[in-house]
Amino acid sequence: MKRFTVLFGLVLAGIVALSALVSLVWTPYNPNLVSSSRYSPPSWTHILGTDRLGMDTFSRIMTGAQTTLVVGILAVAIAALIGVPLGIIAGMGRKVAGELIGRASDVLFALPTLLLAVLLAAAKGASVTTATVAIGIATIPVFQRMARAATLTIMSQDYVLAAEVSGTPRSMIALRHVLPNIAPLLGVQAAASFSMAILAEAGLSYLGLSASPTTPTWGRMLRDANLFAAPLQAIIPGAAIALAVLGFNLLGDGVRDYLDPRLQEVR
Amino acid sequence: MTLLGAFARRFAVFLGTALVASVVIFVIVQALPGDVAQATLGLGATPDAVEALRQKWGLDRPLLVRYGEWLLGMLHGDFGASYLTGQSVSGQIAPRLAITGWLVALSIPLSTLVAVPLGLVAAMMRRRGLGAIVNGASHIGLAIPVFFAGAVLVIVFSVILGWLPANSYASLMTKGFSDWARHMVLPVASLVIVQSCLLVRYVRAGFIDVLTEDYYRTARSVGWTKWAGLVRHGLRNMATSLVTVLGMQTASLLVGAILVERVFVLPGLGSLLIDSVLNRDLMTVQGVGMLLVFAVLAINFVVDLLYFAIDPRLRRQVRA
Repeated sequence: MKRFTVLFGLVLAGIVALSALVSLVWTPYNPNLVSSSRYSPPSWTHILGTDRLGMDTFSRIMTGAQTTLVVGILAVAIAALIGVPLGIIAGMGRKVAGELIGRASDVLFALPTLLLAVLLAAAKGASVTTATVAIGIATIPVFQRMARAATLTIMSQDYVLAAEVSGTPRSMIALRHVLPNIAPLLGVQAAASFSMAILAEAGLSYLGLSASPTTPTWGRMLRDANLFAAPLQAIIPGAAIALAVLGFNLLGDGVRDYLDPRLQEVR
Repeated sequence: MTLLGAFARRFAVFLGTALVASVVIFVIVQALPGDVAQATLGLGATPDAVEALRQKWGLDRPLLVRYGEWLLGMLHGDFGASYLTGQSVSGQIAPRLAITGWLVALSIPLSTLVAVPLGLVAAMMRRRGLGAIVNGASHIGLAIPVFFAGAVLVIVFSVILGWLPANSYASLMTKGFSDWARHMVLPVASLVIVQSCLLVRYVRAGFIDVLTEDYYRTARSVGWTKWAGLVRHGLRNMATSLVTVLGMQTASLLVGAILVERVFVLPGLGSLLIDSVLNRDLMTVQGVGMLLVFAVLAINFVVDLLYFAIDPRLRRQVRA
């Protein structure tokens, strides 16, 4: 059963990645090509039908996978690159530094992702960049807390004590002992945060606070859909978001069990 | 430390965090590079026109002065005036507060009512079909964005069945209870569906933890039934972690409310926020943003206090 769900996640995530890659070189139609056949139902010419401007939904879904993946990857990268060093410093460094970082992270934690994105969009204008940066920044505390907690555990190990006694510089201990040992946990966190980032980006697109209208994104497609005239055009992008998030969630669970069996969900 | 001292300390942390959050919000909105006046007028505007607008909005004054004014005003309930319309921000917020307030106030207890029994079932029957179904369903529900859940509910109940209204709002005061309730069912339902899927997972994990505790084994060995043990010992132990999760989730619920307001075209705080962002009405964005963060922090503070009410061990620890 477990193996089946991981496989299912892998398939879903694979489809998303594949459509993003293929859409770079080929889509059935130009995703922004306006045609006269508006709101046409699925047919052999338009597999998933067309939207209110007659644009091919299938091509737009494929292209939308690009934004989903890029925003997810970049946001998690921003969060990890800033959050992990801060967490290690908070776990290894002086008490004052730890306290300061902890408090700052608490404040950031109180700012919901979407609110941060809204504030940034108000100041700098709505774009994919502000959305990505906002999601990334809002995720920093998650990585910081996790890295700090993991670092504290590692720092109480005998091999760290041995390294300290033998005069290894603290920066070297951080790189050689702490980082490799907390890496599996961080990988698990990255997988979980990736799905959250996808959900957040979809929400921002839905509110019109992410990519410009010419870039097809799943959230914006759902926003533009007319629920009364063509409900299918809302269900397709919505299902795409849900299946992508489900896929990466299941895959993340699989990665967690593989990297660290101790964390396995009780059953 | 006395109980009162513990409360006071938490209250101080709450106020301190709120203060820092206000600085963060102000800095993001007002102090980031990029000129609001310039952005509003567009790149083609003459420098004179930009300067005139800056003066009109008071943007030529030092940042610190503007922050101080904003903060002092908020303490009196005055959130400043919109740059664009000149309307007072508090005046814009007031009529919208009720809508977002109702959404959150109805969704939290309802999703708890849904999630606790389902989580209990998922934990007790985790090796059987029913438990697996609940667990699987909650896994799928976690992946569904709240606005998609809302859209599907509209399609089913408004478009296909035609039972309930979409895209409108009826005020409780002017339209009466039944009309208001009909307009609130779908928005609240979409929040509850998404929220309870998350809660179910925490409740399930919490009850499974209880199953491995010594006190539970003792209760079972002296002849209590499984359910009696879980309900009488489990619920209270679960309550602590449930309250934590609920506190954490309030932030996401407020955000969820913003999205749901967009789906159902409800004139709440969220739609005010998004409209002001799209119009680059910074004072309004700043005011609504601060109010939302304050609400999140206040709820976290209340959650901290609730621990003391739920967990007698914590009270004893503080007194000792």
